[in-house]
Amino acid sequence: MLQVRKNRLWKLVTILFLSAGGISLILFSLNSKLDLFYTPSEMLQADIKSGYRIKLGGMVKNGSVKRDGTIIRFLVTDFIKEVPVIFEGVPPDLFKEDSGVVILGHFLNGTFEAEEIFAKHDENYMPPELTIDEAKL
Amino acid sequence: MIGEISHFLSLSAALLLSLVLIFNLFFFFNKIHQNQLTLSTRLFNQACWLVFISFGMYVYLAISDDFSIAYIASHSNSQLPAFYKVTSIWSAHEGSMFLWIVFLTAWSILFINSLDKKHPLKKLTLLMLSLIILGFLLFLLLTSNPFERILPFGVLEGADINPVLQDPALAIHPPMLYLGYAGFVISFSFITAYLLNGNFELQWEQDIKNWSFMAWIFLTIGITLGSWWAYYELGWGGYWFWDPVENVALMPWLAATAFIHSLFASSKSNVLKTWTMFLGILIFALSLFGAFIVRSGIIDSVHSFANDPERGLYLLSFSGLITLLALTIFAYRLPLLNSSKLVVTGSKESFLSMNNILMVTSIFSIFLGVTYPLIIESISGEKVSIGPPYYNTIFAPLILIAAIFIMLSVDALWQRSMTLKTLFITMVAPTMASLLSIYLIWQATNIFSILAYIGIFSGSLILFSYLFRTINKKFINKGSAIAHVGLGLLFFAVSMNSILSYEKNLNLAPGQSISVNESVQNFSFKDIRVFKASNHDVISAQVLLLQDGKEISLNPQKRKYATRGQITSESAIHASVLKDTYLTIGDQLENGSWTFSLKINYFIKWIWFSAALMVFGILLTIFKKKPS
Amino acid sequence: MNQSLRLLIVILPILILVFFAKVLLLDEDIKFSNFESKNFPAFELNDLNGDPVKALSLDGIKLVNVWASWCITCLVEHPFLTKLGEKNIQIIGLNYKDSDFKANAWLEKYGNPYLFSIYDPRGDLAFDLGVTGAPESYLIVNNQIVGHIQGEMNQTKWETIFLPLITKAKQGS
Repeated sequence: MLQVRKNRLWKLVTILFLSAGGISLILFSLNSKLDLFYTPSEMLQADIKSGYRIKLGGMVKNGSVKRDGTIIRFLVTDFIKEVPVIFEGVPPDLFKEDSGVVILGHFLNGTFEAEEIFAKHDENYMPPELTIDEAKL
Repeated sequence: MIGEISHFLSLSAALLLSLVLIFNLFFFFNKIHQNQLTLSTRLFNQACWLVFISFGMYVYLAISDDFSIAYIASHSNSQLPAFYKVTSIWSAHEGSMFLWIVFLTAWSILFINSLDKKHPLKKLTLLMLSLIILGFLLFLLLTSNPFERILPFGVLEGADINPVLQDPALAIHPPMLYLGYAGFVISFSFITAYLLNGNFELQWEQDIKNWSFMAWIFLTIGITLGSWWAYYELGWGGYWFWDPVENVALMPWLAATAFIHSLFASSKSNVLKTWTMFLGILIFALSLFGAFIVRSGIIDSVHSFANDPERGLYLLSFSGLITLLALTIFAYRLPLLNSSKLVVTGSKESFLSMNNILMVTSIFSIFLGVTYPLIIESISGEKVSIGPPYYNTIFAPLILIAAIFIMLSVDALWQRSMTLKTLFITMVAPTMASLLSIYLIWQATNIFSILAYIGIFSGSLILFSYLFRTINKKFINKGSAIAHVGLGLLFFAVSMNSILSYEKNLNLAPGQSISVNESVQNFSFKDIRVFKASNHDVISAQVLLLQDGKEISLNPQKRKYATRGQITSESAIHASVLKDTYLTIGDQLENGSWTFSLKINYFIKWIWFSAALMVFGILLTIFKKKPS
Repeated sequence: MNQSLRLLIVILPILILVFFAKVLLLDEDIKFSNFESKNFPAFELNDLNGDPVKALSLDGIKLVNVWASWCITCLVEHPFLTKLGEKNIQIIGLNYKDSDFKANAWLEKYGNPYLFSIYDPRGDLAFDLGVTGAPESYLIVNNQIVGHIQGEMNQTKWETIFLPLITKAKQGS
């Protein structure tokens, strides 16, 4: 039946068209909207195009955190190189010196301007301040 | 002693389940048919009870502070309230795995015993369930044993649960979520049994319909609780981060939503049976995949469990095996399954069929987003992450299409094309109204974001379409209407939230005040107090806001917990209908002043309300009385 | 058309499985730095008896284990470390952010698998090493850090991570 064939053809065309659109959208988004992750040494070595949002991961260097009103400055290190970071706002609870962080933002003129700070929580992580009551031993 | 017994009971349960499988294999090869089902059911039920008792004892061990058990020692503490001693059981891998198994077992025992003993699929379903539960039990006992002791003497005090986990919402979130994931083992096993059985005249949809709806409800509640907890606890004011752990919960949810819709078509109109079966298998497969991703350490996320390749490999192999088993049977039987009925274009069935494709596309997009970083890393070693920008871009068109489907399909007819007239009427009014809403919002807020407006348009489309139907006194299935209105509200609220919310960072000394903007006319930092609570020290700020002419008092806090020395902040939230005023205290500076983060989050309450609507709608569907 | 769809339903999951297995097996826990072939950092600290640790002899193959009396998981790995010590693996302890009184009491109570323990109450050496918590273990070959394990040391990790490195080192020398 010609009508059925025609219907099927339309269906096929629509599906192909939508799929092509869908796949293009996905590929485009994947490639342009991913955040690259770098350690300080990797980032300083790589050639980051300006304006690109990236993730920087490392340790907050002990003694480097300085607060100036709502602005926080600190150094992120991987024990090989370090990067100065500037952030405005209240950082998450787990953010502290000597602890791991991942920062999302832009690297401009030698400073990393952070938009968001993530501090990782791992179920096995034992913070050093944990003590066992000696009286109970 | 009790620890040993509990351990022994779990081992025995595994043994009994193995026996179920071995006996049935023996019976199969020796062609014995008498009492086979009775024996199997008895063994299975007893195995299930052993699991329950074992877990019950484990709960007792936790409440009674048995710190010779390594897991309890690492995650609990004698100073914890009893409630949190219990909830500490599922705060990490081994214990939560145990809970997951308990729920699998609970759903299974209830379902199996609800089946009439003459039900042709009872035996095969029982075998599938036995296999799955056994696999997880072995995983628990061999690689993630919660019963391990600290020898020779144990420790005198537990390490304390992370204070961030001492929270009612977070305590209930895993059980709800697991109830959801585990509940879909029923559709998985039953459908696989159906396919193995080979009699395709059998009706199967009714038997698992309500079970699947119930599981969907738990999954929805579980995800919402996680989102709600993240919102009020993490201090970021966000409720969804497209984090891999969240994504692997969303994928089964999408599959489950597609499934319950497809089930509807399949039982009402005898079409889409193949799709429904596929989806029924997919949900549980995605749940297993989620468990693998979260527990293997393969994906680095802000809240993944600790790394352990051995566990990852076991989980991967086991999940893969079970899924392949089901899918192979499905593929094998496929030629026999095709219904002879054609799906008419423009009919309700066609919309439901396209909806399945839409859902699968969404699932695929998320799956790609989760695995793409892994792919790139294994090819080029580069580390990338996929975040909100990707997901927002992908989901905007998807929710638009979903909204259009909902708008059109409610009026669609079974097995008949929609007339052009109906199509036109159904489309015009809501579309016009939605465009008008967009225009008004744009004028009022002067903000333009294409993605957000697509979301607002989609939400409005659904809401207006139901509004007009109600006005025109057309018949509406109440449960389904409420659930869909909930969804429309969700799209609307999330999009409005994204364009209207803002943040202000402030720096004030006690006693100072400042005017923030036209809405927050006065922010007054009255006082800061330090005091002691049960197991933590508190620094509490007294802040008085004058917002939109009303006075609001907020007390954001910072807490230092004694056992871990961990510092957390408790944000102060004032929730009103349109917006949440969300205040977090930062750090004290050298000059004695403090930093604050003030976030105004719009439409947050509507987001929680929309989840409640969806759940309520489905509950109505389950408990609605059939017309006689 | 139908035949290829059926095949796809089975083949696709298999491909996904294989991919994840591959990623899992190759996954090295890369955390913030490359420890391989890094010199063991210099330090000036005492041991748990109060005596300064002189020119730490890190020739040959040694295990440096970060531990503390407050660390529960350290207790869990302790029997395994004892077993290693009995097999003549040389273990040096790094007592991390602890009180020497409690640390010594702990060793007294549970047994001492270490040749000696470096007392690092402020975590200075630990910081230079990149320690993120306890327990943690470093494999040292001829003063170079060649291996690193975070968390509990057990039979499996020993066999899959450190033992191959030790075998390689022995073959090299």
